[in-house]
Parts: sequence; structure tokens; C-alpha cells
Amino acid sequence: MVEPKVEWTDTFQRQLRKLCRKDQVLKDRVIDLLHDLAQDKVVKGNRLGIGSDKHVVFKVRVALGNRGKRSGARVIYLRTSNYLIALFIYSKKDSEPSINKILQACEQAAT
Amino acid sequence: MIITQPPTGGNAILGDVSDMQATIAEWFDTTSKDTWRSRKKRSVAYVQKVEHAINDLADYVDEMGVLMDQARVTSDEGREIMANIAERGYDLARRLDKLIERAPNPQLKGKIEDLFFRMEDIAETAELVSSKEFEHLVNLEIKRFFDGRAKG
Repeated sequence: MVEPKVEWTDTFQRQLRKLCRKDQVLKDRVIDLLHDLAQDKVVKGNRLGIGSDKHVVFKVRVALGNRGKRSGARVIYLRTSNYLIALFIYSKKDSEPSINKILQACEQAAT
Repeated sequence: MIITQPPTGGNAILGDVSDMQATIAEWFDTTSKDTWRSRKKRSVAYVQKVEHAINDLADYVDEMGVLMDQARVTSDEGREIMANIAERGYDLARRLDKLIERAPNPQLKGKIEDLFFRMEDIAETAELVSSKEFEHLVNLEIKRFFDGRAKG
């Protein structure tokens, strides 16, 4: 089976660049994670139910700097048979992230 | 857990969540009154009970994601159930977080902490699944990506 090609959106790239200001090695960690996901080396994460049979959207956790497990970042990605496309990455600063904060962060980066 | 009738399944799982809320409330209540020994004994039993319920809930949320992807559950049905799970899930996570400090030993502390992270993850996922705006944002981003590729 051919490994899906790993790509990312401009929004994801902008968000990642911003997060990397606080964590210099985050980029390498995220890229490694995306390749591991494409090769099915790690657990896919949580299915978000907003895709289809062929396009499945997942959410996965990624560690951020020295913040420990309580706060970290989340990657939202799309998986098809040919591609793994990273759509968004956002940090989770407190124990209860509000959906509005997530939407705001993703919308701002997308425009 | 296989869901064949989503609304009924939804009601059943919300019943399970209510049971879990009651279990954690009871656990929370007894930890302040118990002696160290009985607290340890009770906590082991509660950890097992809550862990089992969280496993079921995680399976349910995952299965609901599959059903929504396959359009076997309407988005509105799925969203309503997920919004409910998100709200209760955050409440459960908050309660588990408070219990971490009351754990009678480091092993149980680690176990409860693990339950807290899993519960929080479920609530967070359910919150995203329940949001129409988030779905719109994701679809827009996917369209933008493929439109950009088509233009070269």
C-alpha cells in the first residue's frame, strides 16, 4: 500500500509558525507526527464526524514546549487514501478550551 | 458498542453519563469523610467503575463520528447528542481534576489523572463534533486547499 502524501494548508502553516515562536522544535515534532500518522505508526486520534467515507477528519494531541500534558496543541487533519492534509493547529492554554476561542484562532489564521 | 438506533443509543449513553456523574459525585463526597485505608479501597473500586464507563463513552463518540461521516445519523441528531456529552464531559473532567489531589497514593493519583485527561479529550472532541461553525470552517479550509491545487 502506498503511503498517503503529507501536505498542509496555508492556514496550518501560519498557525504552526506562530506556535514555533514559543517552541523551536515544535515544527519537527509535528512533521514527524504527520508522517507517523500517514504510515499508521501512531493512533489516528479522534474522528470528528465531519467528513465522509473517503475523507475522514481527525483531531490529535501534540505536546507543546514544557507545558506538560495539561496544555498542548491540537492538530486537525484530513485523511484520504492518497493524502494526509494538516488543516489546523491550535494551542490549548487552559483546561477548558472554549469552542469560540478555537474558531476565532482558526478563522483569524485562515484570513 | 455498536449504535444502530442513534437517538435511542444517544439516550442510553446519556443515561450512562448520568450514572458516571452520580458515581463521581459519591466518590467525591466519600473521599473527604473516609479514613486513609477505606479511601484507598473505595478509590480503587471507583477508578475501575469510571474507567469502564469512560471506555464505553470513548467508543460511543468514535462510533458516532463514523455514523455521521457515513451519513447514517443526521448531523443535527449527532450534534445534539455530542453537545450534551461535551457539557457533561467537562463537568466530569472538572470533578476528576479535583479528585487528583485527594488520591490516597501516587499510583491512584496517576490513574485518576489519566481518567481526567481521557474525559477532557472526549468532551473536547464532542464539543468540536457538535459545532456547525467548526464543520463549516473545516469544509471551507478543505475547499480552499483543493481549489488552490487546481489552480496550481
